[in-house]
Amino acid sequence: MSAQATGEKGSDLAALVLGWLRSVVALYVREVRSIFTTVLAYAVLVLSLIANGGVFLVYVFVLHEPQGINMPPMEMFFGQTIFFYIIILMGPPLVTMRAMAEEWRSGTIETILTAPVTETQLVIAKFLAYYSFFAILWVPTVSYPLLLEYYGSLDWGPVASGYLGTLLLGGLLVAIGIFTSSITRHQLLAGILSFSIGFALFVLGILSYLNISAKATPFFEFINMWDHMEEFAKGIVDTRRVIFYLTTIATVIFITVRAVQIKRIGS
Amino acid sequence: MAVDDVSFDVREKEILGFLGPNGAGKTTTMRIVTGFLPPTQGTVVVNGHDVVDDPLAVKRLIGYLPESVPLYQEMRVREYLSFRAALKGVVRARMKVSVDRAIEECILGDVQGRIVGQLSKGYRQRVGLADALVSDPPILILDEPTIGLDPAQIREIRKLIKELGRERTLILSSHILPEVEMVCDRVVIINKGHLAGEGTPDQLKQRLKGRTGARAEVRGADFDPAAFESIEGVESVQAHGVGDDVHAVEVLAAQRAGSRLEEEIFRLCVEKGWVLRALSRSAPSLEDIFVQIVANEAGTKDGRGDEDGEGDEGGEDAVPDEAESPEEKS
Repeated sequence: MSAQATGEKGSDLAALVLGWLRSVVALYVREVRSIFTTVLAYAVLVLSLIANGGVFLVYVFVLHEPQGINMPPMEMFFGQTIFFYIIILMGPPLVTMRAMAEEWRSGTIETILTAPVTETQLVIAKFLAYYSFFAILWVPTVSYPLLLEYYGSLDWGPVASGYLGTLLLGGLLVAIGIFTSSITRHQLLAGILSFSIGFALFVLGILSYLNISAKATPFFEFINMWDHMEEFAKGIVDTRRVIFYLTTIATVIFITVRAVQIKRIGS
Repeated sequence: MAVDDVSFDVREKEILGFLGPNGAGKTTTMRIVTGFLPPTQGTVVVNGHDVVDDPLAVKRLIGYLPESVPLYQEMRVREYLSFRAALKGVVRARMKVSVDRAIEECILGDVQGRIVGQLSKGYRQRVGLADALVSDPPILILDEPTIGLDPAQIREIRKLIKELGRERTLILSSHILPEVEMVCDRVVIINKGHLAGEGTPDQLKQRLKGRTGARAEVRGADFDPAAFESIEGVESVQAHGVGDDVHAVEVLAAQRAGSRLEEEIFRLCVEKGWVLRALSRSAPSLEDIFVQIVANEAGTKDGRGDEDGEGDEGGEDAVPDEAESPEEKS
């Protein structure tokens, strides 16, 4: 290794990175397939579809009323009703709760981590797999703006930023779900825990409207999902929000990797 | 489960048996060697790679079958083995060949399209074995590979292991003595986290041989099993009541007690005024004796035979030490 030319070292590095990615891809593909073997995944898929579809129908009718609220339907669709939050707060915990807990329970974590694979690769693959599933939940909803476009005209900018906001919020909740799943072998506990954390975040954000404390309110505003989604739905992409979600997602993933390492040593 | 000061070495292309009663620390040691658990002290060196400093290099060399044979229940056999091969860095061009070979070696051809969760225990064990060897690693570590199988399956797996060990270095953990005796070139005995002995099965047998046993049934109101320990050469006495003042006694003694053991038992009973209702010679099973030796050696730390004395001075925790000849992989 030491006596190699720099060019070869460069290709060594490339091979190393490719090898690293290849393991992540293998873990990712396995995980996505595994998600779609569970009944729960289909249940979440169907329920979110029914909820989103029903809600969209209602918006169209409500917004059609001359005395009704004057707002583009897609703006209302993204996060301006409680239904959106029911899906976004319930969906990720339900699906991610088995992500790591099942590995601990069945002992497959031992075969994974005694293969030349690191905890980082495993956690990243898990996150990406469940994040993909979360994204798939929203794919059918693209038909709503398409319908609106067909029967009228639609400003696609806010729709795109609405989806961006949804994916950012969802990313954080999926990461939290993977985290709680990796600290216990009991799926249900993991699910309840991640739902509680997500719900607490949501409620703390809402608290900012009540202005209960001059000191805490700026913090509540900072994490207010409802506010964030309102901006995204209007077409405002505030880099502060984007950075906020990206960094919290990365932080939670990092903590998860650490948690898996600690739990492995203690097993 | 703590392991303390367990030092042993494994040579190239040898089948090493890792023998110990349940709870002796076998699985813990295996997990340390495979890099799943970190040792608090001491080192594991595989082909010159330290498992703490370079775990990925060590993991690449080892195929590991954990005791519980954890498998993804929802996957199909072939799909699972391909996934494992990809994880272990088998290049795409060789993927099909590697998986085919593992399937063939473990005789899984008939079930390769079946879902793992629907297979019998014996088949699942073979899938686990195929998993361990799918990347063709030079070292295989199998933790209790025959546990929970029926006798026919056990025979099959043992045969398979013997074949696998022909071209590979193999560590096999077991609590079943005859199994280790049948399959292994060399044996390490571990008990309560300590090394209790090391040697070839023949050496081991020499140590286990030379013990004689007797079974007696004695009646006496003042019966006291401790009295039998005064007989010369007696190593252990087990007694339990079987009726009114009647006790069944099993005595295990060193060879030198020989046939005099029965005579001495008779004499003792006469002396104590106990009625001797039955007396027979018993051939203690190898496993009985093994348990006996392990129990006697619980306090003794040093193993017999060749130790490789790399730094592990009485740590509190896990200290296995495996050294492989570095030429093996080149």
